[in-house]
Amino acid sequence: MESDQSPIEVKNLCKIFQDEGRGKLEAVSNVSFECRGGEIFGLLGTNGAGKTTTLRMLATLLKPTSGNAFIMGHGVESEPRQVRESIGYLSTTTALYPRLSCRETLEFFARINGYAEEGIEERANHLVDRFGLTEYADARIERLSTGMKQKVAIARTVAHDPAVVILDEPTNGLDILNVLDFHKLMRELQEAGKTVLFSTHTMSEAEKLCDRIAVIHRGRIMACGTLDELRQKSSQHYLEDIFVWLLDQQGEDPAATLGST
Amino acid sequence: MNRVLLKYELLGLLRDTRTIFLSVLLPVILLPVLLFTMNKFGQRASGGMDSTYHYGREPGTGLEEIVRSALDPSEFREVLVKDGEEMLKEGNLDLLLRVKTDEENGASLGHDIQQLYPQMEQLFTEGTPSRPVVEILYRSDRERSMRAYFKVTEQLAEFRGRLVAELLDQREAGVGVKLFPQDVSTAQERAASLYGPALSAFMVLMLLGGGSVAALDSLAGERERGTLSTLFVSSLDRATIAWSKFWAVALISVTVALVQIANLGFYAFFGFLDWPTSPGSGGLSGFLALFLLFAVEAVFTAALLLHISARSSSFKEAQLFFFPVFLVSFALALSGLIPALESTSVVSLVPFTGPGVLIPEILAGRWSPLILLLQCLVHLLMAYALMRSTIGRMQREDFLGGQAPQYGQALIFERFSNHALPLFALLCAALFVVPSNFAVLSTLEGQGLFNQLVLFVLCPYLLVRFYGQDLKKVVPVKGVDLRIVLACLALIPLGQLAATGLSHLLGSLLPAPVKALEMMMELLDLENTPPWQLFLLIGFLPGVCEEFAFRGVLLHALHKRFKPWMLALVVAAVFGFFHVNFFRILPTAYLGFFMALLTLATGSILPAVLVHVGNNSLAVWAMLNGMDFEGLPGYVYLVGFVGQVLLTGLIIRWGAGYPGTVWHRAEEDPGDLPADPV
Amino acid sequence: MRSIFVLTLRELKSAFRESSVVLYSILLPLLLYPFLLWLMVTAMTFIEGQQESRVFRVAYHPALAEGDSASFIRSLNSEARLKLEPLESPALKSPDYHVFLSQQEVDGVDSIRMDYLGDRPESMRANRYLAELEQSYNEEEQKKWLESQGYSGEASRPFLLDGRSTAASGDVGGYLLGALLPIGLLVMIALGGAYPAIDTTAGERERGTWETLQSCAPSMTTILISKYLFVSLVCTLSGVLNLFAMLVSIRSIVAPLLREDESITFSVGPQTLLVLLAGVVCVSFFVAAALMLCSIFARTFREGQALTTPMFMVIALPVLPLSDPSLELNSKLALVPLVNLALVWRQALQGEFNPIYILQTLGILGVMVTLALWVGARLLRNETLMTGSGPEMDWKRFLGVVKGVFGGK
Repeated sequence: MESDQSPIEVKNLCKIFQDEGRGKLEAVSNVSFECRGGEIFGLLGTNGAGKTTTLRMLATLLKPTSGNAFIMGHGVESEPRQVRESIGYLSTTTALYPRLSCRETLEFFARINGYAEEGIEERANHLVDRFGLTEYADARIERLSTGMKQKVAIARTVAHDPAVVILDEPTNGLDILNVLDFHKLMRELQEAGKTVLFSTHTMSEAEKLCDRIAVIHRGRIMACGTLDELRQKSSQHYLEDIFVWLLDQQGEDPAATLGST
Repeated sequence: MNRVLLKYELLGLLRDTRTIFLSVLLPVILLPVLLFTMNKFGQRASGGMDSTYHYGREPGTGLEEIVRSALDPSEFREVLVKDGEEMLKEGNLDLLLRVKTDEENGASLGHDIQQLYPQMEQLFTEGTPSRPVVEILYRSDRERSMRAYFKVTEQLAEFRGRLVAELLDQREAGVGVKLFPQDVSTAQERAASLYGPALSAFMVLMLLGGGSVAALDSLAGERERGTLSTLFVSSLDRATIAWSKFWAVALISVTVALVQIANLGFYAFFGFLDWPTSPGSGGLSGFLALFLLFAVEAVFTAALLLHISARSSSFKEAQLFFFPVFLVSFALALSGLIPALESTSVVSLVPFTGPGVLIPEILAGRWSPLILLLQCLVHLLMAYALMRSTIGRMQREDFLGGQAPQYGQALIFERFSNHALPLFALLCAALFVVPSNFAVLSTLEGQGLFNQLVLFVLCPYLLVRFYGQDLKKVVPVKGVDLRIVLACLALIPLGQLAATGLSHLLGSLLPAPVKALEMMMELLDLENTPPWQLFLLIGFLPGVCEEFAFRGVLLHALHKRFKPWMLALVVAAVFGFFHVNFFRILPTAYLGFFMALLTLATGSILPAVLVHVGNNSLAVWAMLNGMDFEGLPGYVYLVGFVGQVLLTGLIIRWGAGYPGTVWHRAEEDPGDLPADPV
Repeated sequence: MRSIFVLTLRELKSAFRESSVVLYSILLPLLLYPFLLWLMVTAMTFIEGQQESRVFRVAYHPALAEGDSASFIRSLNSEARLKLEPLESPALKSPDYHVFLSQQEVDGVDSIRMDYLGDRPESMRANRYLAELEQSYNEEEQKKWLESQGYSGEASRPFLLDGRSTAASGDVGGYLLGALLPIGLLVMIALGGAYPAIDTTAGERERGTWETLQSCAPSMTTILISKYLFVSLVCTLSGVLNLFAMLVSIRSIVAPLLREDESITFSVGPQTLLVLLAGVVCVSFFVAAALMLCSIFARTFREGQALTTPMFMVIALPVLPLSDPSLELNSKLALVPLVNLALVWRQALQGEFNPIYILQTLGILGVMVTLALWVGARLLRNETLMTGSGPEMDWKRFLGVVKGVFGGK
């Protein structure tokens, strides 16, 4: 990767689904944005806006219908394996193996994502420490509570120390303490020089964490920039109001939007 | 039962098209395959297959004549022989015939035969005539050859009989009788004995196999997915929910049964299946009887599946439990194959087994409506009992929620406990199979060494070590009160009497074959074994080793999973099974039950060891002195039984109890380690 | 390569911590045969016990007690296992009597007609027992008569019959093993492999770990190969354990069925063992491919089971023709997968090795496995199949997927 290239570059990404019930569905339409090195980038939108689809394309789980995306200089279509080696992906639909222990889980994911064999044990120990898993390190995943599972899930996402971390609605269903801990972790990742891209529909979370935000609706990017830039553009302070303003600009009635997703 | 819920349950089940396919369409397709296979099998059994057997005949005086006169030329064809045995080996011949002389009986016999049977003159060699022996060589590793052998023996024997009969006729001897067997059964009845068991098994297969996925999912799967909780917080009470689910499953099963009967009727109508046509001997009433029987089996199956589902925490676990139940049910349904069973016996009280015996009778047109009613009642009652148990389970508070997760020591013990039974099952298998492969292990000493020391001491010990358990806790050898010791000593003869009485009772219901008893005596070889060896190998060793394994390791492994009485029963059952021989299982289990109670009552295996060693030694002593407990009057056994019960009751009263169970009267002993705090 | 190893190892680790897998693949093979053995021995002991004590009820027409048959009837009366009762004509259909004897003239000779019921085992046994008694009675009478005429009593048997088998005991063992082993192995391998096959595809989809794996570095092909290897290994383990258990138990299974003068040795030579083991591996790979191909379409474990059941039945079909122990391998049968392998096993157990057929068999299996894997790999790349949750497989979606696979999407 060239030094001036961003870790994540998305160019005119499109995804069209053939849905049985609804016919052709354009889930993502001409989406472009980029995440600079070491920043926390938020993808904000309602349910069905296209956040998950976009992130899945970046994680090489889906093939773009058109357009391209580059992670650390590798194309998602041309070099999928290198892309996956460079990222850690977490989503509500990614689960953990119930019958492995915490430690085994971390070691496993570090291994298959290319982490050097010599450092695996040390890396696992480090992660166990950092995430407070010491007491349960050898217990099987199936015996852990939801909160603990989530911790392990995040730990395994970064087990192989990827440069880019992609998280799809990571705080869904977590309690306040775990959410705060998660935020702390995001900061730590940023300090370590990682690029974090995460999606959420919780406005306050985006406000608090993100360096830059992209607002996505019906598969299109409505706006992209820092919080200040968005505030200036819309003359609103809170992100919720900014979002409503953006909808208005598109000629959409937010109330009507409710019934149409 | 709630109609709305029933309707939705039915909808849910019916929308599972795959289940419909498996339980309705597939059997319809499979039935002709089954009938065809049975047909072919029946044909082969009656030997109606291609058979012109090829035999070779080595040159020998007179053999040609015998063979020509005796054998049916349409069934036997002679082939020229060069190297007969080689040809037989290669498969070019089915049989090889030779003739030699009967060495044992002398010339005078030959002389007599020559005189009596002049037509056999050619048989005799020049010089001294003697009785010829026709040698028939065949290959027991080829089915054709075996069949040829049986046939040729039959025909030769028949020929021989004809020779004698001719002789006797000529001389007007007037001896002997001739029996003419006549099979007065109808073709329909014969077909029934063939199809009946197959039909019964097929039905159970379809009921349990086809629709089971949906039924098992009904509680376990829903519990997993969370939809059961949603139901539980509705206005319906749990009993209603259970009954609604039951009726949904039962209705579908009964419909499936109906479809299968119609299918059967289709084949019967078009003559593919021999069926009683006259209403008197069966006919329409036979169909109705079959339908009724299948319907109640379906209802019972529904209750059974729901019960399994209720006991499982997930769909996968339900399937795990389902598998052995399926195998056992299938085996029971084949009861029609066992020759001695008739429906007018206690068999009709067992689900699946009763119909297994009744169905061939229905097909043969000789069934009793009363027995049919009885079997229907049995199935319905048991279904009801199962449902009540299911509902009881569902009404428990912890039905939806799982158990608290275990960590640390408690986790390791849980694994030890879960793995104990499968491991003992493997030991039982080894006990059964290994000695038969090594002759040395089947002797008395061999058994002592292998069974007692290796299987009952070494393996359980390794188990305890592997799971990091404390041997002192697992096999407690605490001392006990003097009064308990005395009670145990008294239990020795009393238990012996009671067990013998039980054996007698069993023997009158299920007589043991003479051969089995003879084999046991041979093993003991009383004449050649010195008494001290008998006492050691039969009296002492089993008493210690078996207690170590069963009332020690096994009991401890399971003591958290069952309440004391149930625990004693389970350990006793396993102990009984290890004694392998069917007729010994029950008396052994009976004694084992009491020994387990002693252990649970006192918290130590020493009383059980004492009783076990004593019991076995007493038996050896009695054998050596030619005494036995067999021929005593009935009331003596009863006294033994009553005494045993009373004394055991007293010991339970006096004992300190087994730590970790509800019988434990805790004083200084804190029992097991508490679970690590979560 | 390393990825495949790591992935397969994880699959194995997870699998053997699950009770279902341990049950079907390890415990069941080891316990089944001893259990069957025990069941058979117990059943036989039980039946024998019943039979020994069984008293046959014989009804006879009173006229038989006078006349030529009188002494025969008397001899029957003295038999412990018979209970005779004179009756004009009983209803044989009722279970009260097993046979009925009456007078009958055949070719001008007074004979005894014996009515029995061919559909009732008890009646048949009574019939056979009486036939035995008839024979021994006649022999006695003949002897007595001959002696009264001054001849040797033995002359009632003008010649003797002596039958014996020239088969070596090892041959018989091979024959019996050849009859039982192939069927048993086929079914047990399929049983052992079914659960892992479904769990590693549909089960993972249901638990959500599929996507976790998808988002990791290894490619879909690598993942497929490692899963396939895993299922094949479990199948092989199940097969090997079955083979071992069968060989160890079979002597005991067959021993009670033998006659007294026969003995059976079961020495399985190294060549035979090699062929058997190679066969186990081949079947495992084949069955694994077949089962996984079905379960890939499923999104939940339950759906996976439903989809693999037909495949299970297809695998079990060879059982039907195999029940004929005299079926032999020929050039036509060598082309039928699974049946050909089962017959190669059978022949190996009987000491026969036909290299051409063996190669043909391996060839066919190899081709089918490669085909299955190729289709599987294409399926895994099909988005319609792999993504999203939703209703279970139906024909429309299935056709769409098939089009996608072969249309190169």
